[in-house]
Amino acid sequence: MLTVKDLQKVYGQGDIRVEALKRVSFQVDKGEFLSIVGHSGSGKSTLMNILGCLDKPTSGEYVLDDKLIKDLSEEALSEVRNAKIGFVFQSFNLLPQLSAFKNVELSMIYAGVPKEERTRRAREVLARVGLEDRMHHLPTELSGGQKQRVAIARALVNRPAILLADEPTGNLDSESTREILEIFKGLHEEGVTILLVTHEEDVARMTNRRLFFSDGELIKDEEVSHEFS
Amino acid sequence: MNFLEAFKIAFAAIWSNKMRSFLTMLGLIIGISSVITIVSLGNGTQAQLEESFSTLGVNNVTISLVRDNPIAPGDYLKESDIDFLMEEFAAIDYIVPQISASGTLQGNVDSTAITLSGASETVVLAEDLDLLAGRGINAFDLNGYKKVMVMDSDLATELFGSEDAVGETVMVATGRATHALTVIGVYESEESLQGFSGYTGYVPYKTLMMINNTTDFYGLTLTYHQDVDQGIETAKVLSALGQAHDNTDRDMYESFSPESLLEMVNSTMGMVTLFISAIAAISLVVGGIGVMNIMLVSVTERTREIGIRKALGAKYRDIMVQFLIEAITVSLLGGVIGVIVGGGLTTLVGNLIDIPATLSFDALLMAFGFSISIGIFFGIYPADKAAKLDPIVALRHE
Repeated sequence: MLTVKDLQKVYGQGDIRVEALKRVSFQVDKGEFLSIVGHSGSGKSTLMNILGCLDKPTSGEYVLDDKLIKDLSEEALSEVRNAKIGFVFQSFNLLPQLSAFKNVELSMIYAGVPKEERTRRAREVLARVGLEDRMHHLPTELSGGQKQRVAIARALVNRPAILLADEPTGNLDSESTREILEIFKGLHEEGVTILLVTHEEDVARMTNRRLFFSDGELIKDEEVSHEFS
Repeated sequence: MNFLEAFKIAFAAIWSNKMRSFLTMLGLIIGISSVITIVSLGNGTQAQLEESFSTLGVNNVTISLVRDNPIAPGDYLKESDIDFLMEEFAAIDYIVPQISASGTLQGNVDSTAITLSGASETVVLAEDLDLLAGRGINAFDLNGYKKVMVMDSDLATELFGSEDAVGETVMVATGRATHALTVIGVYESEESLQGFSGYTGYVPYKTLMMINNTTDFYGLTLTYHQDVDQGIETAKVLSALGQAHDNTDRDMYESFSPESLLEMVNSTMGMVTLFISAIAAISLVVGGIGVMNIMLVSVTERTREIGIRKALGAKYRDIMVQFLIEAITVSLLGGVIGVIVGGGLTTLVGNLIDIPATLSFDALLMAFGFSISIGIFFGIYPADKAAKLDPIVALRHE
């Protein structure tokens, strides 16, 4: 469902040339719950941006849901981001002037979903993340954990092929972290494909597979055993 | 994304920066309200002038001797010309020779100057007089060389304390003698364009010929039927008079009509209005630059928002439309406020200088057209800049 082959990303030229990703290849199957682990500067965010169609690789191939991403126009990339990818950012990235409900509604507006269906689906996903009573609150009126739950609801609402979460618990306290991870676990059980970037061992251990990155290279790809969890 | 959503977003953005949005609109408000006020006052003045000219009688054309040319005795217009023209031209209703005498009122009055104008039985109709008492001049007065007078109501009130002065006698001294004129009618005084310019009265023109001891006229006032092409008829009249007096080669007669004067005034007023509007339009351009400036600031401030929207799947067109509609909304709102302020100013200034100015539909249409055009023209560049932002760069923006 997601295939990356010889993916390379180079910034700058000559002396200031930095190879952020060094010919990375891997594959993700439908329904997998996978974490990308590495220190800062290991290339995991660069990889995330390419997988999220926000950035383009210097070379190599990226196929998402049978679509070769590098051939797509800006317009088509927008459509892929809208329909196939759900983003969850470390800093939530909610629009501060819009209520939780409206933030969730936004990607459906871009998808051209009719008003009634937008309302129905936004209520549904907000209820799924336990925020049905906070729908009309502004982000400033929500706690960090609640904000991230809104962001997850927003990422899910267009029923994407893959959920990309970039350090989703990086700005949260341990209680909120636990809540968010529970939601991810639940989503995984429902069959959602999740790719989670983290530098926290505890978080990575909750997933089913870990990809370890260092200096732009994929150094380890391992299944996680959950026998004792 | 549909336009309604875009408008909602635009309103929210404008509302969250009320002061800034207002200052941005101020240039447009000043520009639009100036244009509206100037155009409305211009139209009001024009309407008022037209109204004034209509009292002069738009069906009247004056034929007169060209005084710059040396005048031969045979060039003067005579009573025979009146008979001749009345016979030849079916389009002419009345002809009154231009003859007048300046006189001095005898008696206890503030202002003693009076102008006596020669008139015939047609004077009430031709001059559109509003008779308050008595009657106009009749054929008996005219042909009997009667010393009678139809006077204006101001003078009647001044001399006799009442508008009903019929039967009273007025003593008027002209250069040669003092004449006793019997009042046969009183008409309502009209406010002339120049304001009060002395009392007036009408006397049968034959009587005035006798008073002035002359048989020559410098001019004739023709009154045409309602729907006559004055230009064509007047050209024929001028040529017929030239032939009758055998002076065609010297171009001795010229015509003047309130209609032609009105056209001239209208075209001058139009040019003045256009000129001042052009100056006001400059302020609209300045206002437009203000809109562009604030939109560029807005794009910079909201770079991260643009990044988030792009990450959620907003296309170039979505962001473009959002910012363009925001620019249009700002300028349109400025336009609406400008129209309201302009309407208020028009009423205020109109009352102050006593011009019945009304907000014209054209001016409204123009104001809204201008606002929307300014929004589009000055909003395109910032909107394009926003829509072209690289999502990854925009998302990293702090």
